[in-house]
Amino acid sequence: MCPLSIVENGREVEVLDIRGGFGLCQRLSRMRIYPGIRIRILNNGRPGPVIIAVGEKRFGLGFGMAHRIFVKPL
Amino acid sequence: MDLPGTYSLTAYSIDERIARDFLIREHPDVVVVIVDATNLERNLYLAVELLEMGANVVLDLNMMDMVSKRGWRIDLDKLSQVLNVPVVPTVATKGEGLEQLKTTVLKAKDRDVTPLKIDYGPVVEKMLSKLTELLNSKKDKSINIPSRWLAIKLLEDDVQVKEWVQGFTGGREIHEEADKMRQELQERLGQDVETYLIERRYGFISGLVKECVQRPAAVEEKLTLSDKIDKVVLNRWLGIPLFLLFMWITFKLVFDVGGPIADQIDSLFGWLGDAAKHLLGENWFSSLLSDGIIAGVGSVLVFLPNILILFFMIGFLEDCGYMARAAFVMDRFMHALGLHGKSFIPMILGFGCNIPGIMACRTLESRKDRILTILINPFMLCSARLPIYVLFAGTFFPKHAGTVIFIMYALGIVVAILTGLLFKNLFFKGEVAPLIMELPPYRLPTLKSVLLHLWERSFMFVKKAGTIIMVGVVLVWLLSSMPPGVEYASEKSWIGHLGKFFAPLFKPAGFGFWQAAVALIFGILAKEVVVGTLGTLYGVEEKGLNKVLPKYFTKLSAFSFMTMSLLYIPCIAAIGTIKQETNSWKWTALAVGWSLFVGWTMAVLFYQMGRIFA
Repeated sequence: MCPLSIVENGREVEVLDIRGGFGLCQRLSRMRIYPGIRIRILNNGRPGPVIIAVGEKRFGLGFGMAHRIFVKPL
Repeated sequence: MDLPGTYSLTAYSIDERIARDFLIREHPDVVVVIVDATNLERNLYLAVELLEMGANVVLDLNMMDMVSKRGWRIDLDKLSQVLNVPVVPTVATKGEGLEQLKTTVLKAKDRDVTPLKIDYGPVVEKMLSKLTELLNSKKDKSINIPSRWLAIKLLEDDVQVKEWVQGFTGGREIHEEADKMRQELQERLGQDVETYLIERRYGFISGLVKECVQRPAAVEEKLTLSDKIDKVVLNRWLGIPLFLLFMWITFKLVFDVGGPIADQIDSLFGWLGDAAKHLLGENWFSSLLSDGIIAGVGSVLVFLPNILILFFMIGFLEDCGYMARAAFVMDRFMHALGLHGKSFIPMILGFGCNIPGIMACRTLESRKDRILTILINPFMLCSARLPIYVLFAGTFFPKHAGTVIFIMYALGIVVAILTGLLFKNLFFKGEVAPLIMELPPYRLPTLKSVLLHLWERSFMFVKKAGTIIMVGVVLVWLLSSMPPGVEYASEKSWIGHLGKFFAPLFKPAGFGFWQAAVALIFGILAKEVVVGTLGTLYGVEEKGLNKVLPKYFTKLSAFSFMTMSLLYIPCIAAIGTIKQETNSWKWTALAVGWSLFVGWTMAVLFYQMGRIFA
């Protein structure tokens, strides 16, 4: 298990845990990012934004955000 | 009965229409939908449409051999459960599963079918339930189609369904209601209703497929063009330079293209004012018209070309998908300041003119970030204040004029940042919302949508800023021409008295004479006016000011006057815009009060400190 922020480009990962308040989890789950879901890291600008693919959609996670999402590389 | 192969059931193409007509009129006992299981996202659409219509569907997932060959796994039970239909896997080329299909179809004949309900979102659902109710009360009982489906099709503007519904008794009424709803929806959604509903359907399907289909991670899935662009635009090293380049281009266009047009408008209003005076003679009415209304409204409309171009550029950058990326590029830097990544754009724009800067804050979703960014925006040294610095720095610091002007820019930024930090801790405790945004795929914006945005935004500007400035203008005019018979804006006019009244306030800052006070008061109208007012009050042309000013100002008081005019009260148009954008007099009052306080304090501080050290 590791934070999303250190996963290298092109890897597919499974979301395990989101270390954040209820509001954050809710916001993320509305974007279909919740434990169990698979996402692909398209562009990890360490320490800048991380661009991820959730299905066809692309999301950008700002500075700080990617540290709170814990994932398992597949 | 084998119907034409289709992807959907609209009334647009003849084969789809034939298929749909048959399904509606004949109402077959069972409909077998054969889909390519390797491409469920695309092929389930038809099935979903049929299920919404209330057809008794049996889903045949064909080409299952290909599915297992690719190492995918489809959870048939779950699929069947969610859609509430029997699902049969087959491999038609080898005849596998055909027996099972036959028995399933026979069994399905007597199934109870409830039409599938897709959640179209609260707004649409509300309208749908209203329409469904209407339809339920008016619909011919012999028609065997769910009212909800008819309602959906009405919202989609389906020609055929519309024809039918008009045939019902009271159908015209439903029809009109649906038309109204569709128009309202279109406005609220900002897109075609049919497209929206289709997207929701596909959304449902992709969710379903994700639940039911397990695909092993493809080793190297293809990056889309959008992803490739992002690799460059959001690159660690290239991101910020590219962002600055785009901003620079925007700026260049706004001021280089907009400037000359603005000058034309300026001289047009000048001519208009002169013409009004000439035609009507010198009386109070012509003075109100030309000195007040024409000059005042003119000073707002002068910004219009810049604003149009600016909003065109913003609209373009937004519609093509770049704006969302820009926020990420600046996010880290802005975070350190307690601001949101997106706050950067309004601040940059504020250097040109605070009004579009404040208006650009609309792109910030969180109210707190928006208000904070609006409140600090007036401290950005706008182009209207530049003439003051060009004049004063040129007169008093001829050798270091550039440096002094640069110091003013820097001072504005520092005050903005400190104000931001202070207000954040005072009014908006808690951390900055972490940035997560969907990045829409890049696309070429349509001219229509960019122009539509442009129209909406600039019309608001003209309307609201126009009405507010009109009131302000008339007020200042009144003060300048009263009591009757006085020379316009002279020492004996009310504004002269006002200047004298306020002048002592500026004594600690080193410029306690009434002309400076009046210039600052007029400057609230528009910052460009400060220099012109000084010229009028000292009875010289603007060009003669550099000879007159040293008689009144010292180097030090000139610097403190510059500080004051940088920071004190935003211009009326900006105040109006702050009111309009925050929709609160409280925040507007804070912006005015705080800037006045900071401006005065800093001016006094500089002057007094300078006196001690010099």
